[in-house]
Amino acid sequence: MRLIISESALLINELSCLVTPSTCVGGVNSFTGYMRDNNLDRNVNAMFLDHYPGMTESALARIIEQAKNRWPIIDGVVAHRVGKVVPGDLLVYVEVQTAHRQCAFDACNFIMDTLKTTAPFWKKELTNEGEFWVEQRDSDVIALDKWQQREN
Amino acid sequence: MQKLNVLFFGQLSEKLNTRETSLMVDLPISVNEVVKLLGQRHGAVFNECLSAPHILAAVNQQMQTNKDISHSDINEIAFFPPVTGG
Repeated sequence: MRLIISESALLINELSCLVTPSTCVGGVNSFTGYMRDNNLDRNVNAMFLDHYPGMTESALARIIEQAKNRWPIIDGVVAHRVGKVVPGDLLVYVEVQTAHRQCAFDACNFIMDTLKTTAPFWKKELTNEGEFWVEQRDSDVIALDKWQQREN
Repeated sequence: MQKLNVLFFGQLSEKLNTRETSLMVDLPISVNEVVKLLGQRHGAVFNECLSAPHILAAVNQQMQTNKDISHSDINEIAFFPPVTGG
């Protein structure tokens, strides 16, 4: 799978044709996350995405390996933006190619849930009322627990 | 003595007003012992912020679940709040 950490704009048209499905691929599932212009009843003008260079890449590579150990993934893409972004910018793109559709849905979901709670990224929102670091949501931790319980 | 690079990310780097520092340490050393040394060298705010239970630590870019385990092979340690990517 391709792994991309980018300080420049990620474009859906380029990401979605980055890995041409081979003839053994029967299903491709993807998730695309964009920056919203609002959060917690505040208008958000921009956002800064901090990350831990080096560990970010190894953490995402580990997530991909975990996914490959659980599902027969043929290929795919994990891409994440860092630095300053504005509403409408693409933040994250996960694509999974498999022989059958359910594996592609599940693996894509697993990669996103695991990324959100284990990959070293931190978001800071820039608003008219000031700057606010985003807090981790309980629902994200519960989503990861769901996958860990399935494994046991 | 071993030179240890210490990194801070997210909200923590703003609270401490720094992204990076270094320490000369005797090995082996645990995460909690590094926190204590940082507090002695840089002030109580470091000890206070880094000792908070929600603050995470990575040794040589590996997440640590037990901050009392001693490490004999360590050249980089990072502290940060829970992650919020995606």
